[in-house]
Amino acid sequence: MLQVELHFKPSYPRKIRSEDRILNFELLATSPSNRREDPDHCLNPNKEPSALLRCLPDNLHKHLLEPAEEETPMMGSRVLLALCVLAIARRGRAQTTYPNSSQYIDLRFNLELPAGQTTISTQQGASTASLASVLDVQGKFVAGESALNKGFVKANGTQFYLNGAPFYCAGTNAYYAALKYIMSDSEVANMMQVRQQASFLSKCFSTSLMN
Amino acid sequence: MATCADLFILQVHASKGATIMRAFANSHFNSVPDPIMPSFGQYNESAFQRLDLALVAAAQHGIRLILVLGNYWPFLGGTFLYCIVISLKGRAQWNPYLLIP
Repeated sequence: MLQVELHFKPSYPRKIRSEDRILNFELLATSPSNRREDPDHCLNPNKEPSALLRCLPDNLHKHLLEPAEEETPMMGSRVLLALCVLAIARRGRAQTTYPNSSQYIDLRFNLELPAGQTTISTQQGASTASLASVLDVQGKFVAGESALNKGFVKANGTQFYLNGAPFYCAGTNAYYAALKYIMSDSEVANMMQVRQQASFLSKCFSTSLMN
Repeated sequence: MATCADLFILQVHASKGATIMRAFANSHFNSVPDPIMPSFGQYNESAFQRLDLALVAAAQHGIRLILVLGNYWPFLGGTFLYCIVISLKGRAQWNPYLLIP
């Protein structure tokens, strides 16, 4: 198994600027002879890359492999070895693209179904026009104008105002609403519909609260 | 101790469902399969169309969207990846892997 040990060396034998001090680590790859036998490592293109590798841009190894401007002989061999290992790991990554996005976290949503509906049909819209047909707002959607929301919520002191009237906000996070690989078009529409509806439990809660 | 205003707000929340939702309107480089900004100064029309979809779907149900335009975490490629892509050039000594929380 390939083990990558990260050693922090505060007394680095290179002239470094003060802001670089905390960023200079030495990356050592140990037991490199065994790394080909490891089926679980990210060198295997069919395996999911580690969480760290996943966040980095594809051309990172090019940046890493560029000769350093202020490199000294003392650090050369180890760092180059580490960089080679990193570059190999980067090249071995599976370059899956949408919709084969198996390298990303698979999120599941437990959405309530609308009344009288037993299934949700998901459809991947290709454009805003297809979205409009999916949402059945054909004819209402005008480019450059929000479909039904008029005005912009503004703050006045400690109070939100919308079109001159106080605006009370209630909501939740849905960071995935605009991410294609997480939710399909109709799932977004369904989510908005469900979130907008008041549930039975919340009505009970509201009534008991005010009484 | 909840005041009358708090109770009123809670009542609005409970009786009306969501009036706002928060969605990410940023995705950079190769952090997602279909990023809004694949590289600096380059924008992806299909990703914006999906953002349109979220806006229309929210508007159809009277929900306002809080669109997040930046992010300090590596998720979706925010400020973190900006710094890496800009500052990595010519600095092989810098190991960006260790900056990821």
